[in-house]
Amino acid sequence: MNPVAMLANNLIVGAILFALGMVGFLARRNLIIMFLSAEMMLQGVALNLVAFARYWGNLQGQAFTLFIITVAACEAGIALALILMLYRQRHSLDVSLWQDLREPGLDPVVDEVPLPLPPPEPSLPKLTPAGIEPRHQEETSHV
Amino acid sequence: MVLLPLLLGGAGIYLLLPRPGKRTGLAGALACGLALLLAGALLVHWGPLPVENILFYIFAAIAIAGGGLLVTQRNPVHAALSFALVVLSTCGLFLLQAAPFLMAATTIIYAGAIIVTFVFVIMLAQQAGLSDADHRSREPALACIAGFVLLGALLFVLHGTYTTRSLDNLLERTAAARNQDTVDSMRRTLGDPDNFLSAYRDEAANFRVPLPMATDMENAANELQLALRKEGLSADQVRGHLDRVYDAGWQARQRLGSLDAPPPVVPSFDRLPKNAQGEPIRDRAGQVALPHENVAHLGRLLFTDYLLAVELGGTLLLAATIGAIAIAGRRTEGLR
Repeated sequence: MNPVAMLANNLIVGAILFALGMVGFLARRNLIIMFLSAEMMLQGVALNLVAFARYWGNLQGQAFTLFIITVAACEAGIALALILMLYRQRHSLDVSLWQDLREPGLDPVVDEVPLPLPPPEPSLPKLTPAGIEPRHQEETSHV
Repeated sequence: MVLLPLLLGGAGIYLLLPRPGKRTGLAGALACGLALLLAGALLVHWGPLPVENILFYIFAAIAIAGGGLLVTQRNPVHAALSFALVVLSTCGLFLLQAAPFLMAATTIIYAGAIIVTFVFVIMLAQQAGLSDADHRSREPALACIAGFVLLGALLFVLHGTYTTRSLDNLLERTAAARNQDTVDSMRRTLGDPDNFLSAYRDEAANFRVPLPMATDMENAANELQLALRKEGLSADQVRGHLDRVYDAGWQARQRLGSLDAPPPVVPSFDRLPKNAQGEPIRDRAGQVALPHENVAHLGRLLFTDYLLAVELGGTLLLAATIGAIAIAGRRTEGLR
C-alpha cells in the first residue's frame, strides 16, 4: 500500500475505535463496561501513534505508546479499586445510584420503562421428601 | 458518500444499545453490518491486493466489530471478552506497522493482566448475573449522536486531507492526451492547455508536496507550455513532454497519498522514486525503513531520549499500587 494511504487507513480505524469507546462510555450504566470503553479509546489513540511512527520512520510513536500502556495499567488498578469501594457502599455496579453527585440544576435520570417480567416458572409437581435434608451453607461474597 | 455508512452505523449502534422492552437487536445488527460493508466498499480498492492489505482489512474489520460488540453487550463478561478481541486485532495492526515489541507488550499487559483483573472484579461484584442496570442505557440517542458527530468530523478531516481527486483528474487527461497520435488531437484532449497547466501548477503549489517534486512539476509544466506554443514539433516530442508532466504528477501523488483509487498507469514510465536531498532513504514502495531490531532500538530510545519519562512512569506505577492498596485495603473495621 502507498505509505500515506496506509497511514490514512490506520487513522480511520483509530478514529472509529475512539468514537465507539466514547459512545459506550456515555451510554452504558455498568461501571465496568464504562471503564472498558475508556480503555478502548486508549487503544484507538495507541493505534494512531504507532501508525505515525511507521510513517515517519522513527520510534518516537512506539515509545509514547509504551507510556500509554503504563498509564492505562495504573489507571485500571486505581479505577478498579474505586469501583470496589463504590460497590461496597451500594452493593451494585450501577452508576445511576450515584446521581446525587450530578451538577446542580440537572434532573435525575429515572427509569420509567419497566423491565419485562421474567416468564413464570413452570409448576413442578411437589414430591414427598425422602430422608433428612442436610443443612445448607449460605454462600456470600466477602468483598 | 462518507455520510451513509456513518448514519447507518449510528442507527445500528443506537438500536443495539440495551433497552427494556421490544427486541431491536436484529435490525441494529443488520444496520451495523451494512455500514461496515459500505465503508469497506468505499475504501477498499479491488484489484491485485498484497497480503499486507488483506491482513489490514481483516484486522480492522475485527477490531471495529469487536468495538461495536463491546459497547452493546448486556453481559459484562461478554463485554470483557469483546474487549479482548479488540486488543488482539489492534495488536495485529501493530504488527503490520512494524511494532513487534508493542504487539507482544500490549497482548501481555492488556489481554493478559488488565482484562483478567476486570473479570475478577466482575466475578466479585456481580455474582447474580445481569443486574437491572445492564438492561438499560443512559441517554442512548444523545450518546450515539455525540459519538458519531465526532466520528463524522474526524472522518471528514481525514478524507479532505488524504484525497487527490483533482490531481487524479489531471493525470488522467495527461495519459489520454499522451496516447493520441497528432499534436492537434493531443491539444484537444488536454482541453484548454493554459487552463490545464494553471490547474497543474496549483497542484504543485500544495504545501504537502515536498519542494524538489514541486520544482519538477513546475519545470515539466513550463516545458510543456513552451512545446505546445511552438509550431512544427513532432508528436513524439510533445509526447515526451507529456510523459514528464505525468511522471512529476505521479511522484507528487505518491507523496500526497490518497484514499482514492489510483489513476490508470501508463506502463512505459519508470515508477522508482527519485532520491531527493535530505530525504530519508525509501525503498521501492516508497516506505521508510524502520530499524530491524525493534526491541534494541526501543530500549536505546527509552534509556537515552525518554529516561525522565521512564522514571516518572515507574514512580506513577508505584504511587498507583500504593493507592490501590490503600483504597481497597483489608476489610478491618478499625481502618475504614
